[in-house]
Amino acid sequence: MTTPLEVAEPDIDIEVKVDADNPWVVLVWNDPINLMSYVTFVFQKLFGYSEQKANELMLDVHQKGRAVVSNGTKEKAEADVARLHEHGLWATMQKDDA
Amino acid sequence: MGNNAERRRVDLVFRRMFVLNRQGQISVRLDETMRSLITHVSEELRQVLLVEDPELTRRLYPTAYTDDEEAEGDYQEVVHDQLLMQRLDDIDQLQASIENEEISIELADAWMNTINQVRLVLGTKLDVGEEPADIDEEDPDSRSHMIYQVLSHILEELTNARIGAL
Repeated sequence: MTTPLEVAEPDIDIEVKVDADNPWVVLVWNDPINLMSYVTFVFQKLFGYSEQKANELMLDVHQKGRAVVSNGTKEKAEADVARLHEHGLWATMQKDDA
Repeated sequence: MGNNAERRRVDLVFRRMFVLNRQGQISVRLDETMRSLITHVSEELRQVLLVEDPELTRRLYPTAYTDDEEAEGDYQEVVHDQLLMQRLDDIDQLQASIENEEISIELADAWMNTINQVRLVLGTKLDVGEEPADIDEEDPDSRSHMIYQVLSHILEELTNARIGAL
């Protein structure tokens, strides 16, 4: 992602809880085109995340290469991926068997 | 009051392209050159969407299932045409409102989607990196790089205005 932002280090746990009823996770992958501010905006808009949480997820994508942004049933994960694709983000989904 | 006055002063100093106003609309302060550019590139995007050269559109239809070909086929069968129709509709909405002095949040979303999709197509074609490219006038792609960077700036500005309405 482009356009660096000056932000504080994340200090809260942002792991998405995966349970037996919601085994599918949605991942967003880093890409060189989407703007950092735009990615943060999309996370807030689609998932209702706070600015802080959306920003932390965006930084995870940027720095670690990917982040889990939501989880749920297969149908929910697919709907989330489709909305992320609608907004131009590189999203995939997979079943978390852990 | 003080904050609003301060905000207006800051807007003036930095000549923001988009400002979320008190009515919850986004004021558009683009000059004619910018508006023509956006119209032009959005029409080019429409042609790219309709012709669908996979080299250009692959970032517009990413893979959802990386390790399940059958599920991926089912996903694309359902979602691909929905995305295409949505994108063509966004282009229509953008082009119909490109001369507006202010746009609704719904229109702003259509503008953002379209502008970002142009960036995705252009960025893929130019194989851009995370840092802005140095523009070399001798490079045959220099104009495309310049347009890409201008659109990045426009999208950044529009995102900053739109995020205030969440």
